[in-house]
Order: sequence, then structure tokens, then C-alpha cells
Amino acid sequence: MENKFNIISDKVFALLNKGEYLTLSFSSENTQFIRFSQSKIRQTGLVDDASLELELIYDNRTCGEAFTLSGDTDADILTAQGILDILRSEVVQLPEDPYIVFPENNGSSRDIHTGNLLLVEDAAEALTPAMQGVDLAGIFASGKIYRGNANSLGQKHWFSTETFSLDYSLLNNYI
Amino acid sequence: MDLKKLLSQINIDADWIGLREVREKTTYRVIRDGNPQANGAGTSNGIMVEVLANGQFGYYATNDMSILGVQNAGAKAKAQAIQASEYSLYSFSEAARPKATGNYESSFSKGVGSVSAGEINEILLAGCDALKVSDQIVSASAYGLITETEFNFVSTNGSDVNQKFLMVTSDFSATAQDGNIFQRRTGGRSGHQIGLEVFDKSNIIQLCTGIGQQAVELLSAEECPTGTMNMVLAPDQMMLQIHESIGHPLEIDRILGDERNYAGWSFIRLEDFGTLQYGSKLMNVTFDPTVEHELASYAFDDGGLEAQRQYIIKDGLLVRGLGGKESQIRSNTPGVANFRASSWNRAPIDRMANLNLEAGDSSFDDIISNIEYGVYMETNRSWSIDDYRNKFQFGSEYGQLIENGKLTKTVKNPNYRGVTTPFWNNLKKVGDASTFGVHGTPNCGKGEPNQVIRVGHASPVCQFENIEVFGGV
Repeated sequence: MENKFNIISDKVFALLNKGEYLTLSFSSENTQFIRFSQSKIRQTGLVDDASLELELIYDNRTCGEAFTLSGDTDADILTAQGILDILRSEVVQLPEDPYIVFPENNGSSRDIHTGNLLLVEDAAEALTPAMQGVDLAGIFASGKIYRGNANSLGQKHWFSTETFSLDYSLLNNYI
Repeated sequence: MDLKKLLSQINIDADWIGLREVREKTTYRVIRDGNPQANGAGTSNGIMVEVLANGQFGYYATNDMSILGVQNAGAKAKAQAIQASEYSLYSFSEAARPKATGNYESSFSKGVGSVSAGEINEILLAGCDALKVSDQIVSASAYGLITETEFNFVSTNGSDVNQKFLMVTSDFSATAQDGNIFQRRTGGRSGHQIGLEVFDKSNIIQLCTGIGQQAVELLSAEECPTGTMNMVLAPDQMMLQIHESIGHPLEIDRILGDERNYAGWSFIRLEDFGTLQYGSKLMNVTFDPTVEHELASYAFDDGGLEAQRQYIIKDGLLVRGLGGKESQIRSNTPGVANFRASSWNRAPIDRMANLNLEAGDSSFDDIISNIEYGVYMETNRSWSIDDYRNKFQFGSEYGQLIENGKLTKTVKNPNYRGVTTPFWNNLKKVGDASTFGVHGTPNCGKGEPNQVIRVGHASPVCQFENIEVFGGV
């Protein structure tokens, strides 16, 4: 994910013209969700999602647009280039923003947290037997999330974590 | 994307497979105090692969819409289903996903490309200027939210659905101040399936001038009286009343306890359907996905069930729940086509969609002229209701006192409280079609992980008697 974000960022920043400032925000997840009701499994599934947002500043005006990344890096670079062109045509139509905040380069960071997660194929078996004898409704969510932010002045932050939660309402005398 | 072709190209041995692609672009433009606050857009696009195996549905949402990506998603969705099937809440068959074929398209006059970003900003700026009717308006804001959605659904039992939606939510807000008194008046934050004809400059200036004037008017208004009295609600307050005290408690997945951990439970029990007198004989509530321009109109829900107008409450009697095919099968209770997901990356659950109170036969003048004393309220401002959706306390932005059959003076901070079924049994008069308003909100939240979804609520003006009304503290 980080490599993909870096490749797309480098390509898009190289397209900028004089007077243009661009900030890219990356967001992605690979998550397993299991929903419980009456201590049984109501819904189970996985979500792979990733998006990139471009925020353009030009002539004291700003606008932005986000899109879902497809997984094909070359295609995603083309989409980002197309959106940059749309933002260029739109930003000149907008009123000046007196409160505009220009990007700065205050240094970069890289923060990666690894976790000891249940394998997706083990989660149902690991969790459900322990719930028997009570009425539990809730959700198990487990997986990886990624966040990236980079601007055209060279600042870059990367964060990823592997984590989970089991959040529930439990009644011990209902059934 | 040709989903039928994609479905034919993947190879998963399962009892049923469905592919649901959603592509949604949301554009937002916000002006605050004469300056642009936000001009942005976002497009979300992906496929939810659903696989039925061993009586359990498994889901895999993927942004990789290649054949390989969907094949991988299908295989893992099947594996999830099989692993969960030993602990299934219910063992489903293909009957939970009826075959659906057809199309739907929102009705609108002006498409997305007909008004430029610059023109919308100019119109919102003009609205913002019009809100500032005096120096007492200390903050004014205007926004427009334009959403284009395309939904495609195919399945191994022959479903093939295409639905295209165009929706606009706009609002205008003025905050007035006099010393330590603040009053905020808005346009009601309502959305519709409609085109960019919404951004009509002269209409918006007229609307905003009225909003600004009423915000200032509220500064010098008396407090809303406190006591048990008659109350008349405008459609933009009825929207919230219907949503919270009819819609949520009648969602069958809530009644079954599925949503207990987050959204809440319900005071309704399954045996109440067909027996509970929910409200007075004047109360007729429909699930109606056929109303032109209402925000949650559609032809099929996300499980492929054809959406049809159905009575939920008939002559005050509770007759049908708000549950899609899965909930109907589990509960053996009549429901509606409301199994809906917020996007491609969520599994569907029971949502209320369009839930409307049908018009009666009283004109606005009939209602007001027969009230000796009471309060008329417009536009929801605050809401609080317990997680069984039973006891509530709601507030409105703007009130007017009713004395001896006439609206006499403006009152500020109008609020009321009640308990759901006694409240609806106090429904005394229902306005006719001339009082009917169609509203909707894009911000109903429910589900784990959270799903924010669009709902529509239409209602006439309604009178309730013996209501606990109170003013600000």
C-alpha cells in the first residue's frame, strides 16, 4: 500500500504547474466483520477498500476530489491525472478563500503498528463457542487500516495498523 | 461495467451468488458568511460479492473489479459463509434473494452538467447575502449536496437490475444574536430526488430572506408556554416525528434484537403486528417507494425485492413491519422491500426508506380555527428518544401561539415530549393534500459498521391533543 501511495504521489506531484499546491490523502482498509445476534452469526464478510483524495490550491482558491483506487496502479495514476485536470478547470471558477491554509513541509513520519490478529478463517470458530449460554449482540471487526498524507512541498506521513475490536451488548438472563 | 458478463466469468461453486456494483459521486459546495468553506467531490465505486453456502450468506466487498479480483472475493465470501454456517442465526435458501429484473431512474429537469461549479457558488453566495437581513444575523451559511448514484445487481438466479439516482440536498441557515440570546433558523436540511433546478437564484433569495427574517423575529419572541395543550406540527417537524417514533421501532431487525448493541432495540414485539392500535383512527402510514422526487424512492431493494407501496399502519392499527426478505423469513411477519446497504462496501440491513403519513381531509384553516389554545411548530431543531424508540423529547426551531382559533404571535424554543403510542393515539386532525410536504434526509445512521443512508418522509400538517409542551430553560 505504501509503495503504491508513493508511486502515485510522485507521478501526480510531477504534473503540477507553477502556483499550484496539491495535498494527497490516502485511506485504505482490509477488514473482516462478523455481526452477532443471539450469540449466533447474523452476517459475516470482508471489505477491501482504498481511496485517494486530491486537494488543489491555486490563486487563493481551493477544491478537492476523492476516488476509489482500483488496485491497478497505472489505471489509478490516469484517474488521478484526470481529476487533477478537473480540479484545475474548477478552481478558477470559485471565489477566493480568505482563510485558505497553504501546505507546509514540517517534516515527515512513518508509523507502522503490527498486531496479532485472528486469521479470517479462524474467527468464527474462535469467538462463537465462548458466547453460548448468554444473549450477545454485537460486532467483531479485525484487520488492517492505512492512512497516508503527502503534499507538493515534500511533506509525507504514513500510518498503518493491524487491530481488532469485539463490541457487544450481553444479556445473561434473557435466554 | 457488464456485471452479467463478469458473473459468467467467475467460477465459484455455491448455492447462490450475487454481484452488486455501486458507483456514487457526491459533490458538496458550502458557503459560510460570504466565503467558500468547501468545494469538493468524492466518487466511491466497487462491488459487493454475496455468496450463499450452507444456508449462510458470506460477503466480500472489493474495489478490485477485475475478473481475478471478483473471483478472489467470491471464493473468500464462500469460505466465510461456510466457516460461519456452523453458528448461523438462521439457515437461508435462495428464496431470500428473489429474482429481480428492471430499471429505475430519478425524475429531474436539469442534469449535473447544467450548472457549473462557479454558478452554484454564486447562487449560494447570493443566498448567504439574503440571509443577512440585519446586523443581528451573526452567521449565515448555505450548502448544496449533489449525489449521483448508479446501482447494478445481477445474480445466479437471473436478477438483472439497473437503478440511477440523482439527489440534491440543500440548506440555508441564519443565526441571530441579541446579547446572550441566540436563535437559529434553517430551511429544514431536506433532500429530494431532483436535478439542479433546485439552484434557482430568485427562489433561493426569497427563501433565504424569509429564513433570516424569522431568525431575527425569534430574538424578541416570548418563550413557548409550558403545559398540556394542543399542538400542531408542520411537515418538516413531522419528518422527525415519523422517523424516530414510527420508522425505527418498526424495523424488524431492531425488533429481533439484531441492532441492540448500537442503534437500539424496539418497544414493539412481533405479536403486536395485526393487533396493536398504534395511533388514532386517522393515522395511515405507508412505505411508499413510488413518490416522485421523494429521497428514498426506488424500484428494488438491495436483496432484489420489488419495492411496492404498502400500508404499515392502517386506521391506526399496526399491520406490517419494516423488514426485508431476510427479516420477513426469520420473523414470519409481513414486511417491505427495505433491505438496503449504504454503498457497495456494506451488507444490507432493514432501513425505513420512504415512510409517509397519508393526507387526511382537514385544511390548515380547519385545524387552526378549531383550537382554543395551543402551539404550532415548524422545523426540527433537536431530538432525544430512548433506544426502544418509546419515550421522546423533541424541539423545533419556530413556533406560533394559537389562541381562539388564530395564530397570534411567534414563540421561541418550542419543545414537546411524549410516549410513542399514547402520542399517536392523540392524533386529532390530519391535514389535507394542500398541507402535504415531502422531505428527506441523507443522514440516517444505523448498523455495525455504521451505515449512513437516505430516507424520505412525507406528511401533512397534523394536530395532536393533550401534549406536554414546554419552552426553553
